[in-house]
Amino acid sequence: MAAPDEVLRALAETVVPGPPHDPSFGAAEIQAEGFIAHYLESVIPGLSEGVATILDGMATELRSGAAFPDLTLEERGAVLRKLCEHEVQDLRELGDLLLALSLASVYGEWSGLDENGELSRLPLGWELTGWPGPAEGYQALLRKRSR
Amino acid sequence: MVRVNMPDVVVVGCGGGGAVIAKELAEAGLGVVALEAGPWHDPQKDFTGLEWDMLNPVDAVFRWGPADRTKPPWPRRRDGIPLLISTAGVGGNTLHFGANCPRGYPGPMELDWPIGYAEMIPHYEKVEATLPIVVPEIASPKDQLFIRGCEKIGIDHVSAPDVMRSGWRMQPNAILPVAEEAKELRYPSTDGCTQCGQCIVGCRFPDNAPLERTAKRSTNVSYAPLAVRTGRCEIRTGCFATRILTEETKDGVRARGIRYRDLDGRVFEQDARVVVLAGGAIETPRLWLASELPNDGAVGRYLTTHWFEYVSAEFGDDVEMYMGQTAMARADFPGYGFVESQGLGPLTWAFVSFLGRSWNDGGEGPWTTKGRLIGAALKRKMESYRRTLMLVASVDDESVESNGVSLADGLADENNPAPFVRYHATPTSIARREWLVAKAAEILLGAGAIPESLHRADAAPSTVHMHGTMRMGTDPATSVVDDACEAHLVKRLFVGDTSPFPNGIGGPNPTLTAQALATRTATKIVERYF
Repeated sequence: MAAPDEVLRALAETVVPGPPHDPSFGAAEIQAEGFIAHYLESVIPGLSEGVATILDGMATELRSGAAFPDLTLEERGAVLRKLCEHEVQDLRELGDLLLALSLASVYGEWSGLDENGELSRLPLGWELTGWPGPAEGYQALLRKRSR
Repeated sequence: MVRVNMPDVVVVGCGGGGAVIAKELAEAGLGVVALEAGPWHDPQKDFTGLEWDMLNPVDAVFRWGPADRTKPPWPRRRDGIPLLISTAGVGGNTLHFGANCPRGYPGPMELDWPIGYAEMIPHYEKVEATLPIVVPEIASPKDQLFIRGCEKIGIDHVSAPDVMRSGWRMQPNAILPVAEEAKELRYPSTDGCTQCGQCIVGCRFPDNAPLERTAKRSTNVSYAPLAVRTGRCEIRTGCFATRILTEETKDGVRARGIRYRDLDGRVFEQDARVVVLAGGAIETPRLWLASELPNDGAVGRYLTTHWFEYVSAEFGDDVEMYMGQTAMARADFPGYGFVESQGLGPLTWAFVSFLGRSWNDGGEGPWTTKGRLIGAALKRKMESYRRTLMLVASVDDESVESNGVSLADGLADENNPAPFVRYHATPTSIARREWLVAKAAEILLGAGAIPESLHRADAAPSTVHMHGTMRMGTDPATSVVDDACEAHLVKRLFVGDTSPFPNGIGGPNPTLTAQALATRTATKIVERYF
């Protein structure tokens, strides 16, 4: 059994990988597990631990004795897909939630927020996509001043 | 603050439709109380432009839940429709709509609406003048590319607001005219739309604008202030309607008021001579069913959603989809629906594009990829964000009895049993969707997209658009309200949102039609009861 934090980090890294799997930073580099755990706990207290148990259990099914973080990225992706395609609706929805939170941890603003919840640095996702962030407007698209 | 203690009319929900009916009735001289479950936001203070903060379904500013964001959202059960998008708050779903406000297609409205299409035109015109609706003269880069694609594949340009045939046109938007260039983009030196691209995340621009000069004309900045300004309309926020109160008369059942809870859990009853339900196509039938009102079978049925599909492709040069109003051009295809370019922030784009129903196993036809992407494949797509054009296809989906809203067994919030929403597309709807998606691929390729980059989301149904659960018609077995939007079985009870739509109006964005219908319904209420 791996610790819930490690499992959630391995999960987020599967969705948005960083070094050594991918040249640019990914979810592990911003400790995305903190974001994911926060929202899982706000849905159902204790859910992060439940998720770790489920993902570790599915990992062992795939490779005897393995915890989820022991799997390769490809194997973890297969586990995640299996969860999202599970016959039980609640498990499918849990899979969808894990995927959505992993994506949001990187491509939302979370990694740019300080402890007061203020945007104080460039979020990783904005850097990865080149989005300059919310602007007050774009002069180039305004009407030319009438003379 | 306006106080109305003995209203003529109580309106449940102050969103896209409720605010309109409240304003029209108050202007006609009636006393109105509008009950709104959520808060009345101050855009300048509350809207941050941050995608997760504004839009996530758990604790965002725009969500279906109490104003206190530390409290959990109100639960809902789903079948076949994973994403139930609703926002509590004055403005309702217009808080996060793209502000596209075309009229419905005349064909399907002539066919299924008991009042036809021509009857709606003066009401459309009134809403268009009031908001106002503006057709922009300048297209943003993404829309220019979309237009180029349309022209390249031979789609005609059309400009009439009544859509009789296929064609592309500039988008009629509920957004103030694009502002003139200025040294600083701040009110009052800038007045109008600054093209910031944040329509869906919540418009607060130009910076420092007074509420009623906010560029995007959600009803929280347009109809709601107009209603209050009459001095005859009180908007009570944080008030969740829990029961429609009725009484037996010699002519049958009639509405006499609303029971509601405030933020502290206190329960009140508001009497009125007429009750209007305008909580949207999920909450309106939910409230009816929870109130155990008479039902000949049509309540909660015939939901239509336009079941969107999202497609994307990369270009050799930057597209900068985040610049400009969310959608400044559109192509209408009566019989199928419409396609438009849409500019989103990277997180919203990723959510709609890469969290589809299926996992990518390679695409078919023109699509290289289809469905969910993770890992390196997802990262490469995200890196192409600035060079990507995204199109959305909105389908003229069939209205069938089996799609709709009922009460969930064993799931409730503090107000009532939760709604259970189900939606499964018919073969005809699926075929229309496939036609539109093929057309969208042609437009992308016509615009010069890199062919190997075409991606199709395989999006699941959602309630970005939702209508039809309290259908308007003449037969109580297949409709809930009559041609004035008054309930067949409960007198003095009207519906003022999208739920009376007998069909999906052919596929176009429903807000303007709901608002025109609400305008008409206000005149009918006055004629019948005042």
